[in-house]
Amino acid sequence: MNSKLDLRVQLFGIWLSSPVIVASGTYGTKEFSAIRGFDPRRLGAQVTKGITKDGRKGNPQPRTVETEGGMVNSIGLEGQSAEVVIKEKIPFLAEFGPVIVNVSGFSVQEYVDLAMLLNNVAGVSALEVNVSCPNIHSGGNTPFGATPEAVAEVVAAIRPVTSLPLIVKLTPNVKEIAPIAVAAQDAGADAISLINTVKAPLVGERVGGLSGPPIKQIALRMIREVAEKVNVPIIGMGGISTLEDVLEFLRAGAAIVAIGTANFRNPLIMMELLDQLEEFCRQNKLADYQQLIAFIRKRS
Amino acid sequence: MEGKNIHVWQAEVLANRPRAVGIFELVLSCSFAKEFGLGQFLCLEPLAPESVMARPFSVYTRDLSKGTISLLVKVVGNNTRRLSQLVPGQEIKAWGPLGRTIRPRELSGYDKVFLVGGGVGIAALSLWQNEVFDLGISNEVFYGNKTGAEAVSDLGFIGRAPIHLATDDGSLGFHGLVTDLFAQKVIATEKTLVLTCGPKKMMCRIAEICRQKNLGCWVSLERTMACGLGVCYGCSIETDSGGMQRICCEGPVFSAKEVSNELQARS
Repeated sequence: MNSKLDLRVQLFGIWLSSPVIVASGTYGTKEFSAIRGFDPRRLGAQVTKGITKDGRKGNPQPRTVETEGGMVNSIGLEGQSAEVVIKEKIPFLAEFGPVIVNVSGFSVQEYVDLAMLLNNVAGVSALEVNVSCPNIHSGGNTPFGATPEAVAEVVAAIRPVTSLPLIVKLTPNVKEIAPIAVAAQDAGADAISLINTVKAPLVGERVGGLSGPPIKQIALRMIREVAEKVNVPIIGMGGISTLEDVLEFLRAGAAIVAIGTANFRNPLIMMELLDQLEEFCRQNKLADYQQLIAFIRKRS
Repeated sequence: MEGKNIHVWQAEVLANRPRAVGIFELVLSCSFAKEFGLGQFLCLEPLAPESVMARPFSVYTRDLSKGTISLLVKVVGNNTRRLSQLVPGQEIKAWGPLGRTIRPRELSGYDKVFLVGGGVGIAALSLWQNEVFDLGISNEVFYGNKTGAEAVSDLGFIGRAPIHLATDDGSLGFHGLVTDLFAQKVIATEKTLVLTCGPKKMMCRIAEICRQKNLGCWVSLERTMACGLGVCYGCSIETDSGGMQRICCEGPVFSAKEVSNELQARS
């Protein structure tokens, strides 16, 4: 056996046990910890499903449809209120490592209220500010993430009310992603998550968010465009399902990656990808995360 | 903290036999078959490479001594076609048990149980029938199909309960809907329970008959699931009392009077 492999990553001042986390809404710490062979502690962080201030019943059925190679969802952020999540869920999640709480709002004030509620909550390590859900609307039909101005407004409003690092999750449903990422960074974002789902037909006239391998190339393109323009770390996601995908996203400029839809066809996929990533490091005599990143970016 | 009660395993295909037109019984290795409780289900990985979502199935039969379970697979699309083509020796990833367990003691107050299955929905009722039989509760089965050719002829519980067959075209048993046959034949006792699984329209009608006759009725529901584990909320429904319930976690078995809106929902 070689010397111990150390894949820990430091992002916005927090140590993650690995560069693999989960895409919000495709994982539950409690549910997955009941699976034999699944160790939530191996994930870099526990990422919650998107929460809202007052809780939501979500959208009507049907909520998901499978498409060629992927799926479209319109769940509509079903979930309990922030207060209940803070009281009943966060303490359990925190037993497994850093907790990233994904938050959504229907107004700037709601984001601010959520940030205030979550500030100083024991166990919460960062907020992932979802300005990109295609399935809920901020009054009109466009998410906050659609323009640099709206993203800046949300982030600038949250920044002063919390000491937690802010990860801003952007929508790919825009013409130019880089100016939006720059706006988020300039307003105080500590990291950028790319990408949320791609707007697509669900059923009839309803639309939802397409995820899975069909959006991988869009995600890679946007990560490259954003990596050129911002200095904050990027959390890469969008159709990752193999080790090759993980390496490709890291090479494109992602600091860490998140796995989403791939969890559905194989609930152990994140464990398997971590095994494969560790094996890749051993084979290439890479001792830690820094060496891994240097190695794969040098090869591109 | 809850225990690790969900297994993910490479199930070996031990047999795969046609049971009726378009319906196969897939026998899989499962060393923990006894851990499947009443009402629970499992998921199979999709075999089609272009598919990304888990495929939920009822446990049809199980053999604890051999460590096997079987499922009824109705060929409806690309994935079920591939399932029907599996041959002994091949493997498929499976995970379970999933869903809420109904404890046998929840049945103990009943003195009569009717099991009403439509099409491949009959699979979900088989373990129920075994349990009810073992508890010594009198029971009868109703089994409806479009045609006789689609009816599984050697149901696992044949001989253990009277079976009333119905087909839409009259080619096997009663000529007409199984719901009509049920309405004609059902005789309520002091404590009667009706368990049903099949097309939503059928379950809705059965629930209506039970409401009229004041019988307890449990339905085994299904919705498209992405995960089967309770994390994606793709299968959530609003119950009559206004709460949200995930079919894969709080279900799939519900009291019919809790989910009458869902039973009537068109989409």
